[in-house]
Order: sequence, then structure tokens, then C-alpha cells
Amino acid sequence: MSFADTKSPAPREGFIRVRNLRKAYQERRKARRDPEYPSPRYGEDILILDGVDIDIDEGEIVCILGPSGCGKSTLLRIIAGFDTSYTGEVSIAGRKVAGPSPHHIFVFQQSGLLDWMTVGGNVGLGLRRMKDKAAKREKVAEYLELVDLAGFEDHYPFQLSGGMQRRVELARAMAVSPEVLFMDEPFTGLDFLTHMRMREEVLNLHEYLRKTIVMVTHDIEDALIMGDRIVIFGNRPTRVKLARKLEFPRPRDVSSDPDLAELRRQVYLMMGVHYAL
Amino acid sequence: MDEGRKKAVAVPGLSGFTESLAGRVRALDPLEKLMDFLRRTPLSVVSFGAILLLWAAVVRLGVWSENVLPGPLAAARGMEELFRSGLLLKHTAASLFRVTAGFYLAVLLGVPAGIVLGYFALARRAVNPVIQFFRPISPLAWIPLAMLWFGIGDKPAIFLIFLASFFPLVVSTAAAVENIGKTYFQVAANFAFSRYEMLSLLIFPAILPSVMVSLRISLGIAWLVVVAAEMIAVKSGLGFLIIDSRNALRMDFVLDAMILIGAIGVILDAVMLRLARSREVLWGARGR
Repeated sequence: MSFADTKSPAPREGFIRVRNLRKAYQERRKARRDPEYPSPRYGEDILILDGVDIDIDEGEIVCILGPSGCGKSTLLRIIAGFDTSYTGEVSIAGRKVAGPSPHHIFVFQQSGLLDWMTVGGNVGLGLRRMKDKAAKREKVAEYLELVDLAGFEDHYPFQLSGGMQRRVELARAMAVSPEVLFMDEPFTGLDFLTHMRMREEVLNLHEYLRKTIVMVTHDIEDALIMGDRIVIFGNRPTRVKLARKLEFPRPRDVSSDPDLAELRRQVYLMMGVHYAL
Repeated sequence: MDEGRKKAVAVPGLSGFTESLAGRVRALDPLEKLMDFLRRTPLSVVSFGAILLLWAAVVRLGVWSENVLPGPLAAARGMEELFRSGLLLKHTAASLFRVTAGFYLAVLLGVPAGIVLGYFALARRAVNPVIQFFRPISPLAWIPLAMLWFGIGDKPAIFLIFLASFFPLVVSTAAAVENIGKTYFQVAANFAFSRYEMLSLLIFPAILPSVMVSLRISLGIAWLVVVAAEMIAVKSGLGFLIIDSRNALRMDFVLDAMILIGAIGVILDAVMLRLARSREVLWGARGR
């Protein structure tokens, strides 16, 4: 198998650059949400992201943490090119992000598999322009094997469990060999063990393929175990509260590494959880 | 548990009760046999048999004369006569031809129109009220105009069938397209689908399950309408057979035509149901 580029140049610093990103939504609800608190009126702009700066190096796993509704998913969608109504500068590899691209694959929070296609069809989605059908089939099989789903080509998504569906989506994303992988809370809705296994799976894939992964999560453990860098958001309008490179050795274990445990305590505090952990 | 049962049997007052209970269970056996028989026989055979019996009984009671309500045997003889004379095949083929033509026309125009309306909100806002206006007008109300425009023959009937199945198809296809999950479109954008791929890889397969359902429903409507249309606008078809036989006072033929209409309707529905179980559609029933 030949997944990793052996002759790849040194990872580029500042691979993804976000500068002074501002994003506002227009209030679409006519009914007041809560009469106790002043809420925006219909048609008023609500500032979501207020001058966000982020730098991400090539090959890093970056975990974006923040309270719900703080705009982390919005940020991810903007960097991935799905949302272009913002001010500020967003670029990947020196090029301004103009729209979604097969080089930047987004893994959706709920399954993004095309339900009418088989697993093989889904994984081959990014390879559909390949002329050599046999080579394409082989590549699909390789990536399915990579996520432990060898032989599931002819199954339909509805025949798979939730965890298997996520793995198929990972395989589909990896198969196009993207520059960046975006993941929006990729482990939600999985049971505890499946969650742990998926986390391991993503880390193994990253170890192997060294793709830049930008992941939004609300799970502090996930961020501390997986992240080469964590970015923490505050409440709306959102600014970056903390951006930090994590240079802890892997595999990481919060309970045995006192520095990591201390960082976890700080992160919990930062996110408004005060009781002992 | 086991011990408790032994104890219960050992109590003298209770043993008689359990024995009688066992006797009663044995007495239920014939009923059980009947239930078993019912479970193994297609119940439709039983219910159709019951209707046949009821029909024969009403005829025997003599509420109406045999001329007004022929019995099952008379109907069967009539059916044989129709078959031998070739009229049965001729009228059935005529009706089926009109339904097929009108229905295909409606599918060919209605599904693409529905896709356009479902995809472009602007088109939907402009056209939807018009469709909602025409939809409640029964296709039969169009008969006078259809006859003036298209004359006598297949054309007005086909036009009416087209009208009857076109509007439901447009509406349900548009709704199906509108309801395609947003995530799918984001995946399509992410993997750089071309315009053609948007249709062939996303929209078309995504709406197929619900379009299959509405195809089935509108084919049923088309079959309803063809009979009605044939009573007025043409000189062949099962609807014409009914009117013509009534004028000739051949009520056995009227009943035969009704039986044929029902049977063909069931077959058409079964065919559509079979199509709805194909691989391409099945995910819709099991997925989201």
C-alpha cells in the first residue's frame, strides 16, 4: 500500500490561516425567545464570530472546543468553504477559500453517506473519475480495509451500525487523499466503546497518513487526547480564548500525566465547570 | 417454579380444577385447527369466496330479477361469451393502451417538472398556486373541453388520464426534491458533482423511493379515470363496454366488465409494488 507520501516536504507552518474572521447571522425568528432577557429583534444582525484568528500547521490535528452555540461549527463550515458570507481572511495553503473542494473533505456530524449507494459506491465517490475500474475497485478495498470494513463493499449504509457508517465516511474522505479533513463532532451519537475505538481509529489514520485534521468537539477528553493543538472558544460573540500547542507524548493518558491532568483542570475551569474532577 | 407446580397439583381441592382446565384446552383443539388452517390459506381466497356466496344468496333471494342482478354463474357464462367473441381482449387492450399512454406522458412531463419545482424555490412559488388550483378540478370536468379539442377517440381519453396523474406526480415529486437532506447537497458540493451528477447521483436516486409510491397511487387514479372517460368519449374500452352493455340490457356483461376492471387494477398495483421492492428503492424504506 502506498498511502503516505514518503518524499513529502517538511510540513508547512501556517497552512490554514484565519485572520480577523467576523460572521453575523440575521435573526429570522419573529417570536421573542425569552421576555426576561433582551433578545435580538427580527432582521437584526447577531454577531457570532468576532475577530477570530487561528493558525494551523500542516499535518496537525486541531481540536476546537467551546460551549454549544458558540459558533465552532460555523467556523468549521467557513474554513471548509460551505459558508462564504463573512468578513476577514481564510486561506488554506496560501489560497483564499472560495468554496467547497475535493481537497478539503468534510465529515458530517450526522452521517453524510449517500444512502442509496453501496458502501463501495460511497467510498469510491471521490474516485469516480478514475478510468481504470480495476484500480479503482482495489483502492476502495484498500481504504475499507484501513477502517476494518474489508468486504463490506456491497452493503448499503442502512445495513451498518452507526459506528461502521462513520468509518465508511472516514474511508471515503481518506480515499481522495485530501489536504485537510474537517470533522464536525464526529463521535456524537456513538456508544462509549465505539467512541473510544473511533478515536483510536482516527489517531491511527492520522499517524499513518499525516493529513491535517480540523475537528470540532465538545468533548474535552477527545481534544486533550487527540489534539496537536487546541483552540478554545468563549461565549458569543466568540473570540479565541485559548490557542495552545499540545506537545505531550502519545499515546496520552490524562490519569497518568500530571501536566495533562493540570491542563484538563484548567480547560474545565475555562469552560465553566468548577467542581472537582 | 417446578416445585410450586407440584405442590399445587398435590393440593386435593385444586387437582380437579387443573384437570378440568386441561379438558377445556383439549376442547379448544378444533378451533386451533381452524386457526392453523386460516394461517396457511391465503385469506383472500376465503373473503372472495364469501363475497361470491353472498352474491349467489342475494340472487337466490330474488330481491331483484335475474335481468337486473345476474348471478355468479350467469356472469361466468357472460365472461366466456365475451372472451370467445374477442370483445374482452379488444376492450381490455383499448383501456390498457390509453392508461399506458396517458400515464407515461404524465410521468415523462410530471417528474421533470416536479424536480424543477422542488429544486428552484422561485419556480415553486410561482407555479405551485396554479397547480393547487387545477388539482381539485376532477379530470371528468374536462370531458366537454377534451372532446371539443381532441374529438372522439383515444386522444381525449389519454388527455384525461394525463391530467389525472400529472398533478399528483408533480406535487409529490416536488415535495420529494424539497425534502432531500441538506447534508447530501453539501456532500455533492464537497465532492465537486457536476450538474449531471447532481441529477444522476443525488436528486434522482434520492427521490426514487417516494416517487415510486406516488407512481403507484397515480396509476391507480389513472385506471379509475380511464373507465369514466370511456363512458363518454369513445367507442371502445371497458368503460364503453359497461355503458354499451347497459344500453343492451346485458347486466351480466356490466358485471363482467366491473370484475375485469377490479382484477386489472389489482394486477397493475402488484406490478408497481414489485417495482417498489427493487434494490434502488429499498434503502428508502429502511433508511431515514
